[in-house]
Parts: sequence; structure tokens; C-alpha cells
Amino acid sequence: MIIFELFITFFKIGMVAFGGGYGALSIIQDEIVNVNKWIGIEEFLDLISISQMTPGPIAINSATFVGYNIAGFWGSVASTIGVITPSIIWIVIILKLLKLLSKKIDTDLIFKSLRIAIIGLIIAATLNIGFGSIVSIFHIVLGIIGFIILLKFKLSVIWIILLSGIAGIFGKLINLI
Amino acid sequence: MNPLKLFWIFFRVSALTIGGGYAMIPVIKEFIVDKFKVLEEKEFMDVIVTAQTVPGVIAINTAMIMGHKLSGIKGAFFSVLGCVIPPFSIILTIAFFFSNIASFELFEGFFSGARVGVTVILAKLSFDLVKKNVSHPLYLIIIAISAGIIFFTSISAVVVLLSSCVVIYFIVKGEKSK
Repeated sequence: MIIFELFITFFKIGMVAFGGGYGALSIIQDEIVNVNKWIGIEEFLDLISISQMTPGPIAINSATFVGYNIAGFWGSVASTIGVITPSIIWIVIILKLLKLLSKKIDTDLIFKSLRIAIIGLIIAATLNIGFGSIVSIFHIVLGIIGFIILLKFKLSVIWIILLSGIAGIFGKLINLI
Repeated sequence: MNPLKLFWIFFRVSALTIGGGYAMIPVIKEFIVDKFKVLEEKEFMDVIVTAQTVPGVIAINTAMIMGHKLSGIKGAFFSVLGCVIPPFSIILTIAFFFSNIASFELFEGFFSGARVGVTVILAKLSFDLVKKNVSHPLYLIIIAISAGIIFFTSISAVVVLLSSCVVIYFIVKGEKSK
């Protein structure tokens, strides 16, 4: 049954998707384009660009999109549930494991190191998104203005995203981007 | 914390953050640490790092641990639900209307601008985290190297995270025993 196959495939993807998002991309491509041949490579590239333009994790975006294309609404439901179920399993395991470990070793020290180590990942994500999105003078100016506003006015980060989105619409309307 | 409140927080976070797991961090932080003050920044970052260390969708991992920490199983359920509904409905809408979105250009403009906004808030978060956590010049070098490796090579971010964590662990330990 196709709905069940969708669930299993996306379950597999979620189970091994280490590092999330773009790390999972090659696994997703392999499973849905090469192994199952559910969509072609062009469609897959379209899907990636849609995912980059729209909010939400890329794994959920691909699950919903592929599921819908293969088996309609219920297909998208099955794939999406499939891709998030492993998260639930992994989190239950890690939380239990941490509880056990905290009695034996100094997890505070490990977490302190992890808190420092993760800054490198966040900077890499900033560079990735930055180089992918700042592609014209308009974007540079928008970024500088956004940064000044964020520093000076302590505006909520949600407003920063919304306002830069609205600026993007104007940029598009007057053909700056 | 009320699970429904968590639902609404993660709904907004998920609906607005383009760029996946990492882009969500500053937005969740604003709600959980700055606005509702239910977690200290340190505890908040512990949730974030735990979510990175296991496979799965990072955004979902984060929502689950955060929800669980703040209001148990119910909290985890509603946080995950809030996280899933926005991208699910947006993609479904696009898949449904894909060929005839008349306003697709404006939509594209919005997200093109919004991604710059995400870059800005992520850059600010990076600066803040460096300022707060880097108490040793060696940390800065390790952070720079790992950012460079992830950005320029295809080595998995988790591998980089765990190996730089090991190096930092020994420096932290060495500092402590001094």
C-alpha cells in the first residue's frame, strides 16, 4: 500500500537524518528520487527551491510535497508523520540516557563544552543562509538596515523577519530584486 | 507553562523561520528566555544542543525537548504540533496550486527579504553567544575552524560539533583543574 510505503520511507529518512536540514538532503534525494523514483530530479530541485523560500524544516517540506504528489492529502499526512516519528523516538532515548548519565559523570562539563561548540554551527548556518540570500545591493542595504534596527530599537526578531519580508515585496515590485 | 501557549509559540516560530532548525533558535529564545522568562539562557542552550546530538528533524527535536521540559508530555505534543502545522499547510497549498499562483512573484519577494531578516538575527545571536561564552581565546579559534569546515566542506555538522566538543571539553577541564 502506497501510504504505508510513504510512511516507512520517510520514517527511514528521519531515523538517519543526522544534523538536520541540508545534511538530510542527500538521504532524501536518494530515497525518493533514486530508490523509489517517486519524483524526477528536476521536480526534486524545484522542491528544494520551494523549501528554501518557504518556512519550515526541509525534511517536513519534502515529506509533505512528495506525499501529496504521490498519494494526495493522506499521502502527505503519512509522510509527514513518518518523518517526525523518529525524532520522538530519538528524543525519548536521549532524555533517558542523559538522566542515567548524569548520575555517573559530570554532564555539566559536557554541556558547557557543547554550548561553546555549537556556536561554530550557528555561525556556519548564518554564513549559509547569508550567502544564499544576500544576492544584490538591495539585500545588502536591507541587511544593514535590519541589523541597525535590531541593535538600536530592540525590536522583536519576528518583526525583523516580517518587515524585511515586506521590504522584499517592495523590492520585487519596483524591480530591485 | 500552558501547553496551548507552547503550541502558539512554536506555531509562530515555525511559520516565520525560513532556513530550518538554526534559524529558529533566536526566535524561540526571544519567547522562552526574554519574553516569558521560563528558562535561563544556559538551560535554553542545553535544550538546543541536546536537539542537535540525535538524528531527526532538528526543529521537531527542539520543540519536543523544550515542550517536555516546560510542561511534560502534553507540552511536547503541542509544541511538535505547532511546529508541523505551518510548513505542512504551506507546502500543501503550494503543491495544490503550484502551476497557477498568480502572486508567486510577490510571495518570492517576501521570502527573499525575510531570509535577509533571518540572516540578521542569526548574526546577532552569533555575536551574543561568542560574547557570553568565549572565555578563552582557544575557543574562538575552534569555533572559527568548525564554522569554516561546515561552511566550506561537506563534512556533517554533527561530526564537527562532537569533535570540537571533545577538544573544548579538555580545555574546560584543564582550566578547572588549574
